[in-house]
Amino acid sequence: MDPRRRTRAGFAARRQLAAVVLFGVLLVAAVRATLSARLERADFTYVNGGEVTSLDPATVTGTPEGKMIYSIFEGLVIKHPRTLEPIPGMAERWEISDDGLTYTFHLRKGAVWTNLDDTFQEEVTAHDFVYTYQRFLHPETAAAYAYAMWYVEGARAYTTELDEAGQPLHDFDETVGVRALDRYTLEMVLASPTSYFLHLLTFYPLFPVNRTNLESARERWPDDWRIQWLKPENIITNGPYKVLERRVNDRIRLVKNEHYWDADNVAFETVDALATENYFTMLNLYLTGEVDWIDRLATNAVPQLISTDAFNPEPYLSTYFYRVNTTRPPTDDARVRRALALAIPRREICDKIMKAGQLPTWSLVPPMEGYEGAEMRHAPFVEEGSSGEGDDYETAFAADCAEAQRLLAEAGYGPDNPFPTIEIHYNTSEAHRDIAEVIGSVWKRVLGIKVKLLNQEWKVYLDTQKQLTYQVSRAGWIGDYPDPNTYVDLFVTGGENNKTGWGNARYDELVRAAAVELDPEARLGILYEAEQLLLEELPILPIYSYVDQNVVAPRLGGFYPNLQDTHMPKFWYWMDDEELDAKRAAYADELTLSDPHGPPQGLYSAAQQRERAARGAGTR
Amino acid sequence: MIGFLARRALWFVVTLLAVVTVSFFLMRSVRGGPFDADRNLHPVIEKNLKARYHLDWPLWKQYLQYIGPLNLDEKGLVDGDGSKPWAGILTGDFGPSFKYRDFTVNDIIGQSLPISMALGSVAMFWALLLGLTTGVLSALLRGGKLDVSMRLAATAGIALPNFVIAGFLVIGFVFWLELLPVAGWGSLRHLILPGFALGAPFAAYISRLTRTGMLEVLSQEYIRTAHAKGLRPRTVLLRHAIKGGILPVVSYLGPATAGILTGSLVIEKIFAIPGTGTHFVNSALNRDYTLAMGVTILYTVLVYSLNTIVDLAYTFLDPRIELEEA
Repeated sequence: MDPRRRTRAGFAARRQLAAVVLFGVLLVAAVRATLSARLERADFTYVNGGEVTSLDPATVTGTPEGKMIYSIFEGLVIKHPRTLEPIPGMAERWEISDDGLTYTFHLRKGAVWTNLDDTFQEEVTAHDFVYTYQRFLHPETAAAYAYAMWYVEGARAYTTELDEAGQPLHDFDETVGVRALDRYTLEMVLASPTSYFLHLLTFYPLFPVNRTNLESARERWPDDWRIQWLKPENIITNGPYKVLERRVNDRIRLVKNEHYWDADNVAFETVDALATENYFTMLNLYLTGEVDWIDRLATNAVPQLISTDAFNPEPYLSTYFYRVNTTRPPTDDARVRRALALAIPRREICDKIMKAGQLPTWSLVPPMEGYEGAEMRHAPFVEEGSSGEGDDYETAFAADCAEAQRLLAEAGYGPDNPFPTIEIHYNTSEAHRDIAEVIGSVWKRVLGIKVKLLNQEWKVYLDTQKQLTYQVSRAGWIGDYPDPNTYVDLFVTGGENNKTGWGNARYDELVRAAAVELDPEARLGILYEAEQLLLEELPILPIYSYVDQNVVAPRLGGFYPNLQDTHMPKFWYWMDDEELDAKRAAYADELTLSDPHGPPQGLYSAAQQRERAARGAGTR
Repeated sequence: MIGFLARRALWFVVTLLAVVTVSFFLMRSVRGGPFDADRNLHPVIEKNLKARYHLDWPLWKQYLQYIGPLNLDEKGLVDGDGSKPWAGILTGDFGPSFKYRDFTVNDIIGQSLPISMALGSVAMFWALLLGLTTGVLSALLRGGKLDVSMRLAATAGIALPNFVIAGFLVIGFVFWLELLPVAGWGSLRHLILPGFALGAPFAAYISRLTRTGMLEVLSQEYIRTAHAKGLRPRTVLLRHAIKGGILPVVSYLGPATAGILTGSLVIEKIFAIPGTGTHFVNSALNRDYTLAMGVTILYTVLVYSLNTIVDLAYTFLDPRIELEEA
C-alpha cells in the first residue's frame, strides 16, 4: 500500500475515532451534569399537581400554590385539619365585639420569622400584619383575592379608588380598619359584620409576608426583586416548613423549620411536593410507593381503587354545573332553562361516569354543615339504599322529563317551531365530554333538541365564557370558605364570576342584606331565599356536588378528609404498625387493605413521642 | 469553510428574526391571556397586572420592547415602582415567566435544558446502539429469519408512537419485573425507560437507513476488491464497508437530534421528567408569552446549529463531499 494513502486512511480513522469519543464524552457529561443534584427520598412525598405559579401568598389562587403556602407561612388563624374551624396560628387568642365589627387578635410571643440558613430571626408582630394587609390591598400588588379583605372597613376603596397614576386615593393608616395597638395586638374593624371573617383569615392569601424580606430585595435587586425575594435562599417565612430547593416542574423540597413556634408537634423533617400533572403517571408513582398522596384520579381508575383503604372519597365544597347564557334566545327564556335543568340524568352521571360517590344536586350550594340549601323544583323521590335499587328515582326523573316537555311546548316550541340546535361548551377533558354527551343524548331523546358539543382548550374556553359567546357552558366552583355566601355572591348582577348575563335586583338586594345581617340564623335564611330565587330562574343548571379524590397512604396520620380538601403538613405523621392495625380494625365496611407506605415503626413528632412513651405505646 | 460558516451565520440571523417575529404575533393573536383563570379578576386588579408586564401597550411597542433594550416607557424602562419587566432578548434576557412568576425564562431554560439533553443523550445512545447493530446485522444476514424479524421490529418502531412504547415498557419493566422506577428524575435508572421510549422510533429509522446503506456498499466493487485481496471479512466490514454504509445515518443524526430534543414532550409528561419539552407545550397552553418565545428561540438555535454541525461532519467523514458554495 502506498504509504501516503495509509497515513491518510489512518488519519481518517483517527478522526472518526475522535469524533465518536467526543460524542460519547458529550453524552456522559450531559447525563452526569444533571444527575449530580440528587436528593434522598423525603419523609413524605406527594404530588402537588402542577408547578406552582408563585410562593407569594398575595398573588396566587391555585390549589398547588395553596398547599405550599400553608406549609411555609402561617396566618393569624389556621384551619383545624378536620373541622376547618379557625384555630390559633400566629394569634394565640382573639375577641370579637358584640356588634361583630371589631376583631382584636392577641399574637403569641416567640413566633419568629426565619430564612433558610437561619441568619435572619425576628419576632412576628402585629406590625407585620398591618404591612401585609396594606401590601395585599395595594393595587400594585394586584392580589387576585383582594376582595377577601374588602370586608374590612375602607379596604375596598383603598384598592379600587385610584388617582391618575394608579395610586390609592386614600391613606391606609387613616381609612382602612387595620391597626397595631401594640407589638402583640392587632385590631381589625369590618365594614359590616361578617360571620365567616375568621374563616377568611385562615385562607392562605391572607397569610403574612415579611417586610424586611421585600424591602431589602427591592434595594438589592431593583430590577427583579419580584423574583429575588421569593428565591429559597432569600425568602423569609414563619410557617412549619422552609423551602430548601425548587426545581421547576420537578419538585419543591420542604424542610422542617426548627424555629417554628409549634415545631415540637411537627413530625416530618422533609417533605417533597412533586409537580407531576399526568393522572396516570401520578397513580403509577403512588402504586410503586414513590409518592404517598395524590389528590386526583382519572375516572376510569376509580373502580379499582374505590374498594381499597387508600381511597375514601368524601364530600367536597364544590359544585359541578352548567352556566346558561341568559342574554340570547332561546336560553333567555326561564322556561327553556328550567326544561333543560329538569332533563339532566344526574344519577347516571354520578354512577356511570364519575363513579366515586359524587352526589346529584339540584342546588347551587353544595352540602355544608349548618345550612340546608334550597333546591330547584323537581319531582321528589325516595332514595332506598345507596345502590339505587328499589327507589323511585326513575319515576321521578320521568316526571321531570314530562314537565320539561310541557315547559318547552309552553315556551312555544313544537313540531311547527322546532327548538334550535344547542351547543354545550366545555374545556377539553374526557369526563366533561362524557357528561356533555350523556346530557346531550337525553335532551335529544326527551326534548327533541339537537345538541352539538364544543370543546375548547382551557384559555379559549375561559375567554368564551368571559365574552358570553356560549349557549350552555360547563362550570365548577370550589367554595373559598364554608359559608353559602361563597356561592350565592357569585351571581350578583355584573359580578366578575357571574358569566351568565343574569341579573336580578331582588337577588342583589338579598345578597346585600345578608352581608349586614347580624343574626346568624336570619342571615342564612336570607341566603336561602336568594339561592331559591336563583334556582327559580336557573341561570345555571346544577348537576352534581364533588367528592375529593385523595388517594393517600393508609399509614399517614393527621390527615383528614374535609369539606375544603385542605391539608397541612404540620399535622402529619406516620403511624407505627400498632396504630395502623388499630385504625384498620375500626373500618366499618369491607375495604381491601392496600400498601400502607411509610416506615413500620412510624414517624412521630417530639411531642407525640413523649406522650407515647408516657403511655408505653410502640413497645410491641 | 469560513465562507460557508459566514453564510450560515448570516442566514441564521435572518431565520431567527423571522421566527421571533412570526411567533410573537402568532402567540398574541391567540385568544385568552396569561392571567385568565377560572376566577375572573376584579377589573382594577387585572389592569394592574397587565400594566406590570406592559400587556396594556400596543402590540408593536411590546414587540420592540421584547426585542431590544429600548427606552419606550415615558418613565423609562422602569415601570414606576423600580422594577423593569425585562431588558429585551438582544441583551440575552428572555424576561420573567408569566406563569411561573418566581422564575425568569432564563432560569427555567437553564434548569430544564440540561435535563432534556441528558434524556436526549440516553435516547440517542439507544437509537444508535440498536439502530446500527440491527441495521448491520440485517444487511449481512439479508433474507434470513433474523433479518425479517429485525425489519418487522423496525417497522413497528416507526409505526408505534413513543407513548405506546412507553406504556408497554412501564408495564413490563416496572410492574412485572419491578426493575426500574416508574417515573421521576434523579438517577440514571430514571432515564433508561424514557430514553428507550424516546429513542425507539429513531432506532428503527436508523436501522433501516443502515441496512439500506450497507446493502448498497456491500455490492460495490471496492468491497469485492477488498474480499479478493484476501482481507478477512471482519476487516472488510469494519474498515471498509461500515464507513460508507453509515453515511446516510450521519446525515440523519442532525434531524434526529433535533427531533429527540423537541419531541420529548410526551415522554417527559409520562415519565415526569422536568425537561424543556413540557414547557414547549405548556407555555403555549398557559399563554406564557415569554416562556413560549424563549423555548421557541432555543429550539430554533438548536435545530439550526445541529444541522450546520451535521453538514460539517459530512465532509469530515466523506472526502468526496464538499461544502456547497450556494
